[in-house]
Amino acid sequence: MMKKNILSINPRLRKRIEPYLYLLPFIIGIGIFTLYPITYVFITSFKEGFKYITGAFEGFGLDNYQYVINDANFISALKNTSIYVMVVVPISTGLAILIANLLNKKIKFIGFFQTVYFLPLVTSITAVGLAWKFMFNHNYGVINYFLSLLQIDPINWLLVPKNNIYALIIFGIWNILPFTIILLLSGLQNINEMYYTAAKVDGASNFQIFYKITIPLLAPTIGLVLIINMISTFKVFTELFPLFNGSPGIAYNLYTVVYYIFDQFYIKWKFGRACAAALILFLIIFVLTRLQLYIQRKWQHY
Amino acid sequence: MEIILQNVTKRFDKVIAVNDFTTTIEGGKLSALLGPSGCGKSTLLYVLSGITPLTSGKIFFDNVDVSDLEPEKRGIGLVFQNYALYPHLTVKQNISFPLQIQKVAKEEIEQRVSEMAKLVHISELMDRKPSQLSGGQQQRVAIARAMVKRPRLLLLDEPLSNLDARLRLEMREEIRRIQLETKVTTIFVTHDQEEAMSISDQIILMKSGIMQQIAPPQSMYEDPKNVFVADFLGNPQINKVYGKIIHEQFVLRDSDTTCDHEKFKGIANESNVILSLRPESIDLATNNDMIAFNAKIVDIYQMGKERLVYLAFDEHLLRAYIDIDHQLNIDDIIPITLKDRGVFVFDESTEERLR
Amino acid sequence: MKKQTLNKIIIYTLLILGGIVMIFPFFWMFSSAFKTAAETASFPPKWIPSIPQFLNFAKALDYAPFDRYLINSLIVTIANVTLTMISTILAAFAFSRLKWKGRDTVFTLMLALMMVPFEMLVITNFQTIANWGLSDRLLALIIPFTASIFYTFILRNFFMSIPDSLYYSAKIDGASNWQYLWKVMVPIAKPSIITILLLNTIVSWNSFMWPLLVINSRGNRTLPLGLYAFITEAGTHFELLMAASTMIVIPIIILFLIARKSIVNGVARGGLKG
Repeated sequence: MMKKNILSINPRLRKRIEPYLYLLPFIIGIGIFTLYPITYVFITSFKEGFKYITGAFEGFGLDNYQYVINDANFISALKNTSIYVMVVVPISTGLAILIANLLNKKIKFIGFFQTVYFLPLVTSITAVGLAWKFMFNHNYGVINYFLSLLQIDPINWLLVPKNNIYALIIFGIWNILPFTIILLLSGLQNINEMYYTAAKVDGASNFQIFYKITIPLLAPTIGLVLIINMISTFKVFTELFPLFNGSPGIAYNLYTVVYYIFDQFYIKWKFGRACAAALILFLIIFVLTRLQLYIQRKWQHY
Repeated sequence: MEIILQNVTKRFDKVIAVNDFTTTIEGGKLSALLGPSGCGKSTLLYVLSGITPLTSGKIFFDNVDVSDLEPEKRGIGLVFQNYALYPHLTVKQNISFPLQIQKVAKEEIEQRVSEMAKLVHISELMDRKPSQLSGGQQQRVAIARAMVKRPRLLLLDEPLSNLDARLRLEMREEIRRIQLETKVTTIFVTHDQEEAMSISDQIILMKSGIMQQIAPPQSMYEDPKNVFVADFLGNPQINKVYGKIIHEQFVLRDSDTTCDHEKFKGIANESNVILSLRPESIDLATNNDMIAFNAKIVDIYQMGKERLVYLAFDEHLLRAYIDIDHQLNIDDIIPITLKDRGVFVFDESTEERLR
Repeated sequence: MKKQTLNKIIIYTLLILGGIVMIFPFFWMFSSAFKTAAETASFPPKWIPSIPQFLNFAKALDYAPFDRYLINSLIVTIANVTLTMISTILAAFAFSRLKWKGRDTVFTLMLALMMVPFEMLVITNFQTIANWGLSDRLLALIIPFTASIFYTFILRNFFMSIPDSLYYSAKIDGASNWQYLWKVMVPIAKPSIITILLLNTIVSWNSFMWPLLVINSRGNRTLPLGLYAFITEAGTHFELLMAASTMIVIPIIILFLIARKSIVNGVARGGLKG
């Protein structure tokens, strides 16, 4: 009788514990490297006079935030990042709408073209960034060569500070295009064929179909793509390394928000300030993400 | 294997799906768990399987209490409504799956699987994937997979509802054949009374979680315990009129129209009753037949060997199968007699059978 | 008929022109990898090297231990992808099939965490790794990437689409949760799992920021980091830089050529996320 009791309790207990065992590796990973860092960054951003080595600090306050928002570098980082986002996102989305439409046609070699257009998606930013750096070269770069064919004077993309952001933007657009095309293409493929057929029956021209049917029906996807790309371009960082040898522009003129965070904690060892800047970045991304979720919810059919 | 249910109850939050169910299901038989949709019949099946835990009560398999036993320890086979075949495995691998889990030796698996395939007639489909099979074939595979373990109890949840009409007839004969060949105690869930009537040894009829009656199909049909049972079995549906017994004569409600029958004798005066008449119990009165009432013919449908006649009994429309030998015309007023079989009198308030 | 032909010509012309722009940096990388130093600096540019300099690759390997970097990259990528896949499969199972207290709350919290940029976590993780004494070790590149909310979310959604009846059927056959997961769910979810593996491989192989923070010594660099360091090491030898870049890019391009559809579908479902 006793034996039976023990046996009947054990499996039940095991059953209760089992789900947590499945969850364990995941929760440990996320707990230590996602959940804990968030709380840590939040608290540290309010610690005044925080010393990383000793962990000592003077008290809680808004010192770090005050420093960061008044720091010329941070202001410049916000400005540069905003310009980068405002230029890269609309241009890449516009180009992607066009290309996605071409890639959505039922013609031969479409697989080949897709491969060509999507290649930057999978390749290392560092490696292709180096090729771009080479192409941007003032004296023998291939871009200036093409410009010379058009009778345009060579531009010193990389060594003249004011030109740096153009190089970053061109590289950025090229880099983000495949991802943008893929999202728009899947949006296009979700549009029911019957709309096109109906429009053709009604005698609409190709341009009219594109303008009156494709674009409105694609609007939710376009909205989504704009936001997702704003979020990802706001975090521009890695692109700076191959182009400018790891400095933010040739004369520290091209700080981005993420580079600023990196600079504060990794180079200057000001963890409090880095955390404050990171929290500001998080707030910006948070707002954009809410916007994204709002769009997704509003257009359920996407 | 004999199954005993004792006060079996299953509650989901506020809904009582199975309510205080007590019955004994005979072993070696094919039993149908019948009822309208949402009556708790599937829940009861899953309670029997152990997938759904009981709220209260006890279940015995051959006098062994299995109420708290895990599903895999109950020795059952279960066929789901959607068959639940593993889409990534071939037919053969699907049927082998339970045996592999039980770590049965390879040669034995091989032998038992081909035995099963032969039983359900799918030997030539062994290397196909479920997506390459028709609904009926999938059903056979699902039965084979459930049976290969040699279960003490085979449970089938709406086994025929996903099949088209022709296949449904074929498969229900197949289920009957397989059950007879293997003699495994089988319970299947259905909402289709015809299905239950045609192949089962006994029917367990449920309504809103409560058992109404358990009996072999024919005796349930001929001897329903209450109004619901009489209503649920039979196609076309039983005729039902409300009224009062006055001096051993049935008087229609809100009318002077009466009906006479032997069965009304001995029923207390002034009792409110429901009179239920199977269509085949209504016939044209000839010779010495006791005339129950007169009715006008409204419509006649000749359906092969049978003839369905719609009769106006006062303001009520009655369906009747009337012997094909009689010459009938629409608008004729004919004398009606009621046979003994298929005439039931129920108490209106309790809905229990009086006669 | 004529209008259609004209349309096609326009479409192909546009596609080819755009395609040239998209693929040009790769062409330039590969072509330059075979040039002599003089050819890289010629103006007007030399499109195709007159004599392909295969030695560039050997020279690049002489300057910097790219073979070592390659092995490190392989170790890190395989470890990341494997460990993440295991934790993802187990967690997706717990979030979809198993029932436990607080499941939906925890899941909602995890979805909220997806919003947090990796760049914000980096500050703390850098310290955690330092405190554990893992700085400048390959383990520092592996340990923080053993779980992913994003992949877990994708797989959980797929697991949810597998009918419950399969689970109960397996239960009755005596299969444990563990057996059901590996014998039924995982094989059925194979396409999703492959997509996750591919996406994670790409992300891990190209990862730059994190290795930059935690790796200092040459022997522990991964390919992207090694390439970045090579910019200073190779000096002005652009042809060697391009040879090294080619070596990094080629494996992933091959992977892409093999599994393009699966990768593109995965990206369309939510993108590449670190």
